Amino acid sequence: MFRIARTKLTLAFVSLALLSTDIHPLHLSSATLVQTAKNQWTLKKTLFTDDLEEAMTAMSYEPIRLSDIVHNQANLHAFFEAYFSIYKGNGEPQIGKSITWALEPTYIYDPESVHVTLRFTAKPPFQVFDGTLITTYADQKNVYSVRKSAEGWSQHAIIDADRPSFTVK
Amino acid sequence: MSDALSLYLELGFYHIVDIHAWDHLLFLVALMAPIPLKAWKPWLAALSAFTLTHTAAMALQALADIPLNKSWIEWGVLATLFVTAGRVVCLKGVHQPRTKLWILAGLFGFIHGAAFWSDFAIMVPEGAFTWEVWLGFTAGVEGGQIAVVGALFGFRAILEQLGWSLRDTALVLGSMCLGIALHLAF
Repeated sequence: MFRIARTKLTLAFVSLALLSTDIHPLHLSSATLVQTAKNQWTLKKTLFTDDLEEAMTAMSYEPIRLSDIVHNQANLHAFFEAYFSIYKGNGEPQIGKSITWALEPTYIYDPESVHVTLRFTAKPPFQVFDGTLITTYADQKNVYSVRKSAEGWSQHAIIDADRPSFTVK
Repeated sequence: MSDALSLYLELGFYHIVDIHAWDHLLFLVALMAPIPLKAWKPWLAALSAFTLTHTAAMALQALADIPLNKSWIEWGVLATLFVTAGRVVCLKGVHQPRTKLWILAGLFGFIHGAAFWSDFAIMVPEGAFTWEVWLGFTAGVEGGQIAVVGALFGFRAILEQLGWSLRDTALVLGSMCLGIALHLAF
């Protein structure tokens, strides 16, 4: 009797599986934060193109195709204004302590990934808040590697839904 | 433990222990479904072989940048799932103690590693590929796999208490994985 039940169960599981699956991508970005001169920082961030397009589309309510670099530079700037910020110190972020950053005039596009460069001046310690893509994807992870001198990477960190910032010491 | 080692250990662990990492999870379920817990040598050898070749494939890509057809590699990942699950169904859920499962797992780890390379290349910032990154990620993958297999063995033990034999459980799990592989393929 159990042999019959086993056959039925097997068929049931195959049928259930046939109806219930879909492919799901990985959600992450990476960035290097390098001190190029005393207190001068360059942040180079790489994001998956399809993820960024989806997040920017959700923000602007119009379809975004990042292959059109000239048209989308301002959109990208607005996106980073909304989700990316840096604050002096390592305590609670305060409005008066925010650090201004500048986005490089053009981003680098390829169908797989988009490369964005930001520059700013800051004396450590300072906090980096990077909510890019986290509101779109709950499992998004933004990975950072920090280099303060030619001696190598001084710090590595993850920003995600549970850890919205990290402090550069 | 250094920042990089702990960060990539975490990323490697959650690369596997993630409900969205269905390709890895189903492959592990299909691979381990018929093996009894007490036969720890074959399952640990298979897991480790998979982890090592997964990392070796990515390291090879980092060094040689071999041009790979992404859609072929994705089909390859599906094929690994199809073959592994199909094997369980063909053998009617019976564990074959003489089979060198680590060879199969090692071969398939190479395909999964090649498929993950493009994501890993974005996960690690440019110029930050250090030995700590490789070691942390590899150890994390191995730890994640052991956690998943532990959960699978726990689930099987519960079913065993309910009267399911290991063979029945393996056959049902193998069929489920085969069904998903077929669905994704067509």
